Amino acid sequence: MIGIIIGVFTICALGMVGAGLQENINDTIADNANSLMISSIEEKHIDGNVVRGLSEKDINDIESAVKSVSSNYTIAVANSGYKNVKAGRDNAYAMVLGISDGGLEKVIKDMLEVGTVPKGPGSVVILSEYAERHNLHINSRLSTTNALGEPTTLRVVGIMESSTMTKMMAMSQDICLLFGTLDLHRNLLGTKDNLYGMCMVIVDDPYLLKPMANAIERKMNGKAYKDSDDKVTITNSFDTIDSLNDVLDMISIFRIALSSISLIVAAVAIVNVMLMSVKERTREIGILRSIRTFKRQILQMFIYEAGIIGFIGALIGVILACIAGPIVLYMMTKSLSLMLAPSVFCYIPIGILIGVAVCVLAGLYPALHAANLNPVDAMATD
Amino acid sequence: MTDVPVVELHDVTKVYRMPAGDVYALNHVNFSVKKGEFVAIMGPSGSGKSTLMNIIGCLDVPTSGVVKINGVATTDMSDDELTIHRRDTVGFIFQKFNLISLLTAYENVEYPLLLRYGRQDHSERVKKLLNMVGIPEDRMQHTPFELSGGQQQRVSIARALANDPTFLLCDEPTGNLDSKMSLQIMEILSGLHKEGRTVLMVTHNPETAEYADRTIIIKDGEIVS
Ligand SMILES: Nc1ncnc2c1ncn2[C@@H]1O[C@H](COP(=O)(O)OP(=O)(O)OP(=O)(O)O)[C@@H](O)[C@H]1O
Ligand SMILES: [Mg+2]
Repeated sequence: MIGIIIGVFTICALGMVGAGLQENINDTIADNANSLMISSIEEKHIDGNVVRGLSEKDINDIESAVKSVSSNYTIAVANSGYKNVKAGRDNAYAMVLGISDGGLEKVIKDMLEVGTVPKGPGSVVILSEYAERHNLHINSRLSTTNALGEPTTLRVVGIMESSTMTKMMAMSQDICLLFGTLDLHRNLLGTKDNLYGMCMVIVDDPYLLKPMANAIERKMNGKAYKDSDDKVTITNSFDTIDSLNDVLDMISIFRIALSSISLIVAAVAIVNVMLMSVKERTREIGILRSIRTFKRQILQMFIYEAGIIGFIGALIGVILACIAGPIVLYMMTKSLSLMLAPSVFCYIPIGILIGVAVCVLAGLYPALHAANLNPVDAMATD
Repeated sequence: MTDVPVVELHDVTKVYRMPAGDVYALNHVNFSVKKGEFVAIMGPSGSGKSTLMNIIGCLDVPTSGVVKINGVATTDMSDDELTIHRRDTVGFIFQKFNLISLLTAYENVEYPLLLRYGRQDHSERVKKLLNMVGIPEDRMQHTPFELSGGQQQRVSIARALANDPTFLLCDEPTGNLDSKMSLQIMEILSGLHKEGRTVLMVTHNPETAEYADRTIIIKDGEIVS
């Protein structure tokens, strides 16, 4: 009984956690893995200075490459730079991310918890973690200096939740991300030779990202001089998630192996229990056979018994898993809504079915043994 | 009454092959019982009486020879056919009563009916049977554990009769009972015989054997008289 409880518990709990994580990743893909980030690694010589960035022409080339795959995209340019900001008395090192109009809306809108998309050079959106840590709200002020070194204040117009993308950008938790317009960036950090630090391609269908990335790669890097390095690097947020999926696949193999082992242990335990139960009732079986009970009725009796043990065990296992699974999932993803996903939920009937099936299969041997007992010998035992 | 014997044994041998040598529990036994007969089987311990009963009751199969019940050879029957046969023709009564200890007296008698018809019996047949063997109404819901030996044997007779068998096989039905109880049980069996039932009974007690029409004696697996 314990065996089957543990077995079913393992299947269900691991299944739920696995499916929950998968679901979480799928959600993340839908939410965040919708962008390519292209940045230049080519050194350009402008007015005698060595600079890095994407020129208007580069952006146009990227756009035409993207267009060749699908017309369903948003393209945006972005500049980033670092700045010290003060929130009240706290100092923070901030990454200022200025994004061109269409892109800014696209990147921020879905993730926005409160507030609006920033407009103009003085408004920013910050991440909720940072807002919580420094007790910032809508309309809170951040003080910093502008490109000319003069003190200036920034107004918080929105607070957004963090996503895979923002995590990729910020690299470290201590860095505060300030989202705003290109004007914001220009205001705080000055212009950079009409070059952009980064180009973003945002799509609704994450599966477009791969072919788009390939097209850009071909267009931008394929033409590069043999002896020079690539012109651009492309970060595909879907790739990160893809590799996460690989890890998850591995975990799920591990999970299957683990549940199989516990089920085998459970099956052995059931065989043992059932054999004992047959032994205990050998005499009764003999009597039943002598008063007109068919072999298959004896068989049925013991298979029912195994099935009932399996069902009760599985039920307890599933209930325990329903308690433990969500707790683990919550600790890992901080969200309980995943429990209601069908792929997570379906582990409950699956667990029960597998539990009962294993018990019935394991009960088959003892049941056959019982049915094939010689009635005379069986009655002779005490 | 037809001429076909209810039970017919032709040259039946039962050998238990043991490491210490073969045991001939039955050795070329020829024997038959007519319908309505009451036959007592006597003999020393280990002479093969129980083996004979088990073979007649199709609980066991002979090593060689032919067993015919109502003219039908049982030798070639499958296990299921034997079970059906057992269900419809044989009523067993054992020395050790062999009631199912988890079930009440009533349920023990009802059980063969359930097996046969697959549903509960509403015809009061169980009650009638229990009344007939002298189990009072207030005892019917007791488990075998709460009944005396004599009462248990009565219940087991009622159970044997539940399916209206062609013949009753009684293996030392009074072996575990005192003489007063034995007498009562024998009165019941004798009454059943007078109603026309065929009864085969193993006994060690010459007094109980006196109820029978005839007595056969078995020794070392062979019928001696
Ligand atoms: N299952 C068995 N395996 C081996 N030998 C057996 C088995 N059953 C019975 N025998 C042997 O067969 C012989 C006949 O046994 P059986 O039980 O028929 O005797 P019985 O006449 O009923 O004796 P009792 O009066 O003590 O009940 C005995 O010698 C016994 O040892
Ligand atoms: Mg005996």
